[in-house]
Amino acid sequence: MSAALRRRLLSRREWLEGALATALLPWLSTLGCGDDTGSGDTSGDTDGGAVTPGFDASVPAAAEASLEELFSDAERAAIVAIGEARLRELGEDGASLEQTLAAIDGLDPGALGDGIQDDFEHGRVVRVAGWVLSRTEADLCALYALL
Amino acid sequence: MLLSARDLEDGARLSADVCIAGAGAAGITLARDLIDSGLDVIVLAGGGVQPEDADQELYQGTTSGLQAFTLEEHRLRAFGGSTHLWSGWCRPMGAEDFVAREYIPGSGWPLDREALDPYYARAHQTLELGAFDYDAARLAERSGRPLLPLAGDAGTEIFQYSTPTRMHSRYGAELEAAEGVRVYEHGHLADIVAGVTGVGELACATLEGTSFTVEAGRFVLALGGMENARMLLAADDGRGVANGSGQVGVGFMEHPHYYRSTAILLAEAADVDFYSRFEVDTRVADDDPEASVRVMGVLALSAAAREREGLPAFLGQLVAADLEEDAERTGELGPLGVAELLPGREARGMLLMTCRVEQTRHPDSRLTLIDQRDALGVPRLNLNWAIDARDDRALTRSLTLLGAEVARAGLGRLWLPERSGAFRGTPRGGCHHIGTTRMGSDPDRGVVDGDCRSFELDNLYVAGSSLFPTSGAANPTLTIVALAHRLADHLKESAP
Repeated sequence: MSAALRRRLLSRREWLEGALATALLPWLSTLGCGDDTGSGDTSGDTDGGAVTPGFDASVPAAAEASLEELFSDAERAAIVAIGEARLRELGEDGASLEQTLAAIDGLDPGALGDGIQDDFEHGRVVRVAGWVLSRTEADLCALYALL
Repeated sequence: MLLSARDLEDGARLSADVCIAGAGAAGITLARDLIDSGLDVIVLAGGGVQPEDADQELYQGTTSGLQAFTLEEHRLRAFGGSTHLWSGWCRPMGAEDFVAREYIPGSGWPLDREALDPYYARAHQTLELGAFDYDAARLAERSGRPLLPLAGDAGTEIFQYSTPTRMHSRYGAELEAAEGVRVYEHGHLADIVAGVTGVGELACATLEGTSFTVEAGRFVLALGGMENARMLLAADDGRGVANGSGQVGVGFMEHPHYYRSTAILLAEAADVDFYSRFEVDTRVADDDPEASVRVMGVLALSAAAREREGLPAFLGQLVAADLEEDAERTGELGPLGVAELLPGREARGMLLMTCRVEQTRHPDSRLTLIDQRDALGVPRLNLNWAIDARDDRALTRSLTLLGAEVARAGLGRLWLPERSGAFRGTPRGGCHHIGTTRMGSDPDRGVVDGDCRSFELDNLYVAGSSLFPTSGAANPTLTIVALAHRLADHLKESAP
C-alpha cells in the first residue's frame, strides 16, 4: 500500500474508528447486545425475543466513541485479523482501498450504514477469513489494519 | 402371515405372484399396499424383528475414498430394516430436483414432482406425519413463531418429523393378519437367477443352512440403497443382471453433513424458536382435522437462486452454540477462532449451522464387489465414496449468498470454513445411500425406468433410495415410501 494512503489514514484515524464502529458494532461487539435480549440458543425459550432491525439509532452515538471503548481487546484483534486477511487478498493492489476510502471518507454514520446495506443488496460481497462481509466493511478493516 | 424361513425344509420351492426381497420402509409399504389386491405376495425379511449380529454381519464390506462410515453401521438388516435406526426426518424433494439441469450431472428423473405428490400424501399417512404441507409461512403462523426475515435468494424450508415410525412395530400385526401376504423372517436373498427375458427365481437361504427358492411373476428388490446394487452385481453367480449399461453401483451419493461447521454472529438476539423442533398443528384449513406434528425450519437458498447460480441444494440447520466444545472438537471455527475471538458472545447471539448438502453424481463414487464373500456366499461390497470438488466450491458459493442475505436482513454476519474458495470441512454421512440403481428415461440413463422396472429384465423392479438419479438435499425416507406406494399401484394396475 502507498505511503500516501497510510499518511492519509493516520490523519483520519478518529473518523476511521467511528466508521468502523458504525460498520461493525451491530454484529461484532458484545457491547452491541444488551444483557436482557435473550439468547440465540435454539433449545431455549426465546418466545417474544426480538429479531434485529439492523443498524439502530444507537450507532451514531457509538461512532463518536473510541474503538477502545466500544470493542474489547479480542474484538479489536478480530478487526485487525480480518483487515490483515483482506490486505493479503488485495496484495499490492491498493486500488480497492483507495476507492473505498474515496467513496466513504467523511460520510456520516447513517450514510455509511446505507452504503454497507447497499453492498449487500447489490452483491458487493467478499469473503475474508471465512466471513461474508460487504466490500466496504472488509476494506474498512483493512484500512484500520494499516494504522 | 408372519412365517420363519427357518421352518422351511431345505430345498423348498415357494411361489407367488409378487416376491418382495426386503422388509424395510419400501418393502413393508409395498406389502401393505398389496394386501387385498388379489395378488399372492411373499416378502423376504433378511432377519427377524429383533436385530441379530449374524444378520448384520452380512453387510460388512470395505471402504475406500472418504472414510466416513462402515458399511454395516448405517443400515440394519432385520424385519423393519433401517427404520429401526431412523430418526424420522421427512421432507419431499423439490420440484426442481426432478428436472434435468446442466449443472447437476445425471439429473432428470423420468417423473416429475406433480406425479409424486399424491404418493407423498400417502407416505405422510404411512409415516404418521401431519398434513402434507411444507409451507413455511403458513406453519410459522400456526406455530405463533416468526420466520427469520430472509428474502430474495434465501429463505426458510421445513422438515416434518415422524415419531419415528418403526415399520415392523407399526405394521407387523397388519401383515401378520393379512391372508395374501407371507412374510418370511430370516429369509435372505442369496442369488437372482435370470431367465430368458426376466428373473426366473430367487435363490434364498437362512443362516442356519436352509436353502429355498422363490418363483414369482414379478420380483421387487427392496433391500436398501447399497444392497440392491450389490445383489444385481453379484447375481447369476457373479456375472450380474440388469446391468448391461454398466450403471449398477455407479454414482453412489450420500448427503454430506458438515456438523456445526458454519456460524452466524447475530447483531441482536433473534427469535429462532421456529428453527428447533416443536409441535405444530399442520392443518391447511381451519376445518381440517387436527394434525399435530413436530416441524423445524431450516435455512436454504431459493430454487431461483440455485438455478441462476448453478448450485446444488443445501439445507442449514441452526443449532445452539457451545463454542468451547465446538472449537475443541472440530477446530473448524478458525482461523480466527471464534471462541477466542468473541468471549462470552455465545450467550448473546451466536448460532452454529449444520449444512446438509446435495451431492452431485461422481463416476468414481461407486460400489463394487470384492473377493470376500459373506456367510451366504454373496460377494461383499467395497464402497468408494467420493465427492466432486465442484460440490465444495458450490457450497462455499451457496453460503456466501446466504451470508449476504443474512447481512442484508440485518441479522448479523455469517462465517464459513473455506480454503482457496472451497468449503473446508469433514463430511459425514447421513445414512442415505442413493443412486446406484438409478431411474432413467432410457437404458443409457438408468437401470430402471419410471415405473421402477428393469430395462433388461421385464419382471424385475427396484424400490428404495438407490432409484434416485439425483440426491437433492431432503432426507430420503419420505420419497422412498412415496415411490413404494406408486410402485404398488403400478403392480396392481399391471397385474396379468
